[in-house]
Amino acid sequence: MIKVVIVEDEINARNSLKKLLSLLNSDIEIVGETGYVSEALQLLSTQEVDLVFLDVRLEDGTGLDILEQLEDVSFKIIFTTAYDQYAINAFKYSATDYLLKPLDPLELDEAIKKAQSSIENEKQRQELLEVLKNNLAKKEAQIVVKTTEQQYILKLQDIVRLEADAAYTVFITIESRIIASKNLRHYQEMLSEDFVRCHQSHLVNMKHVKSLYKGKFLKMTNDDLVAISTRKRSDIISLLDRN
Amino acid sequence: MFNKDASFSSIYRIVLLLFFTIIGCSPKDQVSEADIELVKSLQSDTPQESIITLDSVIKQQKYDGIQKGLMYFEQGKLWSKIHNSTKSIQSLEAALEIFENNEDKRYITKTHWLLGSENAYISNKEKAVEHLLRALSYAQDLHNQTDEANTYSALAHTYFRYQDYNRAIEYTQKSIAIQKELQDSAGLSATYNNMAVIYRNMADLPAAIEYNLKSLRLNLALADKNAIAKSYNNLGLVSQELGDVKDATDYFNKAIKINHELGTFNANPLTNLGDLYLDGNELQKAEECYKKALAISSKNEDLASQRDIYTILLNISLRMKDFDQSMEFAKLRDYYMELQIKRDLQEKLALAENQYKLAAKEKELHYALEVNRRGKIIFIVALGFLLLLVLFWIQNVKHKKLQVEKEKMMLEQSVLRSQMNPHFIFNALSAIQNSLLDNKPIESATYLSRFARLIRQNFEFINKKYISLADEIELLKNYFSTQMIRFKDRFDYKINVDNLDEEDTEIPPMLLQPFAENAIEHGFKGKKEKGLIIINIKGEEERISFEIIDNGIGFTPKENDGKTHSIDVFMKRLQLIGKGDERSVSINSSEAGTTVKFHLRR
Repeated sequence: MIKVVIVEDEINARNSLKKLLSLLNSDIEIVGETGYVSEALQLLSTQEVDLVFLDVRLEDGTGLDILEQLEDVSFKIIFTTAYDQYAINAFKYSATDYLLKPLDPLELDEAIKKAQSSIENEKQRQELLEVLKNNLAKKEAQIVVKTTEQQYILKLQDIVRLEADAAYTVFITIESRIIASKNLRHYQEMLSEDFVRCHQSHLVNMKHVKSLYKGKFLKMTNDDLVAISTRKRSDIISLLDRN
Repeated sequence: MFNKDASFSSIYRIVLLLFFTIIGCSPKDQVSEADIELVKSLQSDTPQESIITLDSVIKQQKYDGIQKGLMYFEQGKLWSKIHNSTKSIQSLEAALEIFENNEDKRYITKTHWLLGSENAYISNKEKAVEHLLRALSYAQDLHNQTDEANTYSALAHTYFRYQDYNRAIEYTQKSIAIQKELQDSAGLSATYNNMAVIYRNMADLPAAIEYNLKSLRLNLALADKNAIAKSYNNLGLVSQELGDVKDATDYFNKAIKINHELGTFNANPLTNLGDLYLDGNELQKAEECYKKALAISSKNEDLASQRDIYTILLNISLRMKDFDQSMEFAKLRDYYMELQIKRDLQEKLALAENQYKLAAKEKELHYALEVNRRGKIIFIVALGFLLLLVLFWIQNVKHKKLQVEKEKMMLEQSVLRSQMNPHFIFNALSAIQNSLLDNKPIESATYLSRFARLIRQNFEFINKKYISLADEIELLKNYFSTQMIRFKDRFDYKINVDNLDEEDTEIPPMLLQPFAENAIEHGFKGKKEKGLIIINIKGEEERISFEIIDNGIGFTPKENDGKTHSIDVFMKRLQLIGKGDERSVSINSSEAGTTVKFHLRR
């Protein structure tokens, strides 16, 4: 049995989740539910829990407040939110699992299965939570990049550019090259603000563009030359002019 | 782009109008006014003044072509009049160049003729003859016999001056031939007189007398008494030289008589007669003549003559040993001498003053032109500045308009955001999902359609500036019932409308919902008892007053949490209506509940 705690202040959402869980998976036991930070802390510190559905906004605080106050997080977490663009970005950056309300039964099912099968260790989970906390606290944005073997935490400002390599993506940062196990499109969607897709195979950090080279390349701060596709040229040039 | 902007094009037109008006009235008027002054002075002034005036007129470059040539020509004539041949030649040469450029043969003739005469005066014989021969050929070319005759006379005069009397006679004869042909009696008379002078200088006194008589006859025929008098005077002089005292006396007396009859103040015959008597030692008669001459000179204010006559009278009185008289004459001579010197001085001073005045006038003119020029520059600069300012202003207005538009758009968006709070939407949807999972199809269907209606109304009203109060109340009711899906019977509401026609009263859409939302989302949370919202809408004389009262737990507005509060949006909306209604808003919040009051001016 998977021991589950639901931390959710919206009564309808909580009831809905409970009913969906019972419909989807007979292997789940709901060991506690609450809408308050204080009650959640008590629930989570007094008994063994495998999985927590954690709402971002609660009556008396946020889901993060709970994690902050727990000494050690030994359970897996699936965040839930109705609408919070900022939190959603933070989840994406930190490769944290989350669900949107009203819940999609299929997504919920997948999330539970993934949580069950994931072999992430305590250290990795702590790292992810650190990144999430950092990003939610509006500090320097960080991103979790998972390779086939391990995960890296990169500051956005250190990433010079990303380059497509078949189904993988190469991260070129100030001091390293990391081959991430997701494709470039995945990161393009995630890194929409300062990063620009100047070419089929390239996503560059505009803050690391030094100059336009021969009208066809972007010269980066690390002196890499990145091709600009003909289609994107005028957009890129106007973007450079603006900065 | 600008054409589309009505305000710009009208301003542009006004500016252009201003430009032409100022340009049109500024520079030229003063110049032409000064011009009139100059022309006036030219007519009334002494030759000296006129010359200077012409000078400045020429310098102004106001005239060109023939006009300018004529200016120089007139100036040359004026210089000639005051016997300044050098200057006269300068002016005439300038005139000649212009006339030649314009191929004006008549004036080329005249100018050559004058140049010839002036050169003759300064003993530049070759030049004089050259000019006069040119004048002659032009005159012949133009078949202008008057000019031809005049030119012959001038040639004669030139040779006469160089004592080439034969040539002088030759040319005079040519002149006579033409004048005879033209039957120009007056001209002929003058030419005969010239001939007489030549012969007199050649000491061929009979021939001189002959020509003087010819001249006299013509003058008599013309009944030109002035000329007759002059002829008699000349005859008198020749007769005197011939030693024919009786004839001479006779001729002088005739001249004197005619002058007397005509009232001509010509003292010459009298002094000549006086000289004659003096020669004959007839002192008494001489004195008498001189005294008469003196009277005429005095009337003429001819100081030099008076002085000269007094000198002669002094001599006579000395010879007559009338010392008392001589003393008096000496005194008078000195007096007139002084007077004459004084007047000379005065004239010179006056001339100097005149020149100064004209120079000043010219300077003023230059200054005016300069001021005009500077004024123009300043004006253009100012105009440029003005245009820039106008453009800047237009840009500014546009910018402001855009800013306001942008603000309005932002506000509309935030209205949308605040009215349709995403949390509310998704939480409502979660509630509907929950009811579905409860297997309550009728209830679920009801919730879903209730929610759909609310969304539809939002879409409908969001772009409207005003909706009827009835619509607003409908919207509120829908909102409350949608919220009741979530909160079931945790709250209740009442809407009271007093003294208003709901259909006829218009208000901005979704004005009250933020307060309802605040009460439900925050006020009633964590409250054990049932919540209650009362909305009172009342029609007053010139306004509609609103009251939203809840019994929630109250709220303290969080500051600087980075999010736009629905209350800020509400205030901003009232502000944009522009009736100052935002000042009527009062919010009282305590643990016992919150009361919001405001009114809208109709």
